[in-house]
Amino acid sequence: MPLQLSGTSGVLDNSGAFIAGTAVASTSGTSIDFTSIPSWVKRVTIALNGVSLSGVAYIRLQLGTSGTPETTGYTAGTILVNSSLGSASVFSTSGIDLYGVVATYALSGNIVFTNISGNIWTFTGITCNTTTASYVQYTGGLKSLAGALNMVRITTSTGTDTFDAGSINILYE
Amino acid sequence: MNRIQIDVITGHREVIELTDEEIAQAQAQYAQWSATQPTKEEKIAQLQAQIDALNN
Repeated sequence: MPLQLSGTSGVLDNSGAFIAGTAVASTSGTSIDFTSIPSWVKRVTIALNGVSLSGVAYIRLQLGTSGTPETTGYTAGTILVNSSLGSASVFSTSGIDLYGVVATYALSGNIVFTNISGNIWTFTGITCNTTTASYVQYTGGLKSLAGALNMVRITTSTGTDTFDAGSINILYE
Repeated sequence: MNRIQIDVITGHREVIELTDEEIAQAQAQYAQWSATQPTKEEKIAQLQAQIDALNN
């Protein structure tokens, strides 16, 4: 569908175009929400740049509708590979979990959400510990939303750890 | 405790303080998460098993 503009609502449809947000510092807070994602969006990329937590929780990504993140119903798996220590994996139904490993480590990479049809979204991502370049993580899975996607939340598995370094951006198309 | 909210259309960034209910939920989530974490002894046993595997 071509570009559609509205004098009151802004961009109504922009399929095929690529819109980048402004990177937000992930240096405080227990979660970071990107809201008001347009209904015509078919692909969302979350870019992590040296994101770190105060503790050892998983960094958790969740999709949401009507401004509220969905906290159940994910089929998400992540495997961490370390050249010397081997591998570890985590599977979650509460969101997409990425290993933080230790509080001093920072994570960089991209997670891409793709709309298959209706409100069904798949996701894939590769991230790396950019503090010591000691491990890489691969993640993927599926989430069926109750309605149209309009937000992404980046939070933690504990709910109490806080972001303390890096930046996060959203790109959508 | 707070969360950061960014409107992708307007770019407006807002820091929102968590409500008492949200804080209670976070603390309950932490307690649940903490209960699933291995103890120090379990971690040592896991590491010892990895060392044993390397030696075999």
